[in-house]
Amino acid sequence: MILTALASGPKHGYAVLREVDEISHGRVSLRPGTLYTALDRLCGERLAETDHEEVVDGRLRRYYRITGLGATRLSTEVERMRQNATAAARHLKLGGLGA
Amino acid sequence: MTGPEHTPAPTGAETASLERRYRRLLVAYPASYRASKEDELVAVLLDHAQAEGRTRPSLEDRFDLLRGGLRARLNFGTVRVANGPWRHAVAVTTVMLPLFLALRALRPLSAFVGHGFTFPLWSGYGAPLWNQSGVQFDSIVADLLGGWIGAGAWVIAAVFVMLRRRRRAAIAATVGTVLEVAFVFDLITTHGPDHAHGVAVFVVIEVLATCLLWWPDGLTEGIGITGRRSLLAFMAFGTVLNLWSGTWWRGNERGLLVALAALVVLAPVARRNTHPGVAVRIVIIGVVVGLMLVIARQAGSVTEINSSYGSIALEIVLCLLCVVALAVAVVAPSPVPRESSAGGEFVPSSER
Repeated sequence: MILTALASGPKHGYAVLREVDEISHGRVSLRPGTLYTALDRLCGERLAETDHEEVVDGRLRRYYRITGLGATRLSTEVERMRQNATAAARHLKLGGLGA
Repeated sequence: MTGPEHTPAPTGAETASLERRYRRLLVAYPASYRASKEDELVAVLLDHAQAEGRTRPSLEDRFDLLRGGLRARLNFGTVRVANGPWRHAVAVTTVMLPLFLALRALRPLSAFVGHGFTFPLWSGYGAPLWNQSGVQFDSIVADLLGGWIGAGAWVIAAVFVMLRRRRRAAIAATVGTVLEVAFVFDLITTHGPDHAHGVAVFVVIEVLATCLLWWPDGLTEGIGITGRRSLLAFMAFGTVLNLWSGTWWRGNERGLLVALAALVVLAPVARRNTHPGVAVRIVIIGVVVGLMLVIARQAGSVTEINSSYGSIALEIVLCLLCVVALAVAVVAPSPVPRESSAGGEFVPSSER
């Protein structure tokens, strides 16, 4: 989810929270502590990295971006999910339950 | 999440008070972490609180920050397993160790079969060991907590592993490990340290298995490599072997060692297109675990400090050295991986 949020461009922590909320249609609501644990892990695995920093209204905003390795991992995951969805649709159709 | 435009902006005093509260909560994080991330995290927390119209940290935020701080202090999420064959070998080990420990938990059943169905099953998980030396269990802790309940926790963990429920498997494994520690402690204090030989080592193995299950990617990646059918085959084979060893070998560790050999052989051949480097590394891990079991059996007899706390300590220290040696190999040596690893990284068959 976080990699997906970062795929459209660098974002700061709160923007990532909002993006995850939006792309999951409100089903996933991350808390800041959880977000940073995940971001630390993604950065540790070189799937994401710091882009730049700025100060807005006296608050520090650090932007993160997806790396090439992160984009590869996300693409692989997207392909896997697409295959699963295709298989599910095919089975529904075989069972006469799908559209 | 509602947008900030729907809620009235808090006053400066309210914001300052909220910021102070958040900074106090962030004490849960290590000082080094706060030095680099505190201002950034506070800004996100304040934005988030403002969007929700709060002027005090919510209960969820408090819990979330405490959990995040604990994770940061324990280095969870920052220890990185190296990419490539080692990573996948460790992932397979993450899957196999709980199954191995679940098979061990079934050992009283093998003793039950081995003794012509007359073995007192209710007398405890470790009973086969002590029955051989004529020691009877009379402790509730050993019989129940460290006994069938502790063993049952590993069987439950194995079931959750098969169902790919990592978190539940990790919780069951944690319970099993804690009870094993209680069991060994009770054993040492009740019957003396010499009776804990061959058992104390399992504390190390269980801690290792539990830590691996708390690794977020291990279970999914491991099952992706081995496939679930080979795991079911391993469990079936191990169970039959366990019962057989009870009739033939009187339920001692040799049956487990053969099961372990099956583990290191079955896992690599489970998928024909498994990377050969992974297979080699799984064998190495299997040999290390096997070595730990041998150390557990021999530590008391080959040293001058038999029948003392020293030999148990030696047993645990030697086993820990095995684990540390393995960890040195599998944990990424450098915080900056090579860029080429993205393209050249081994990807298991399930992800291709």
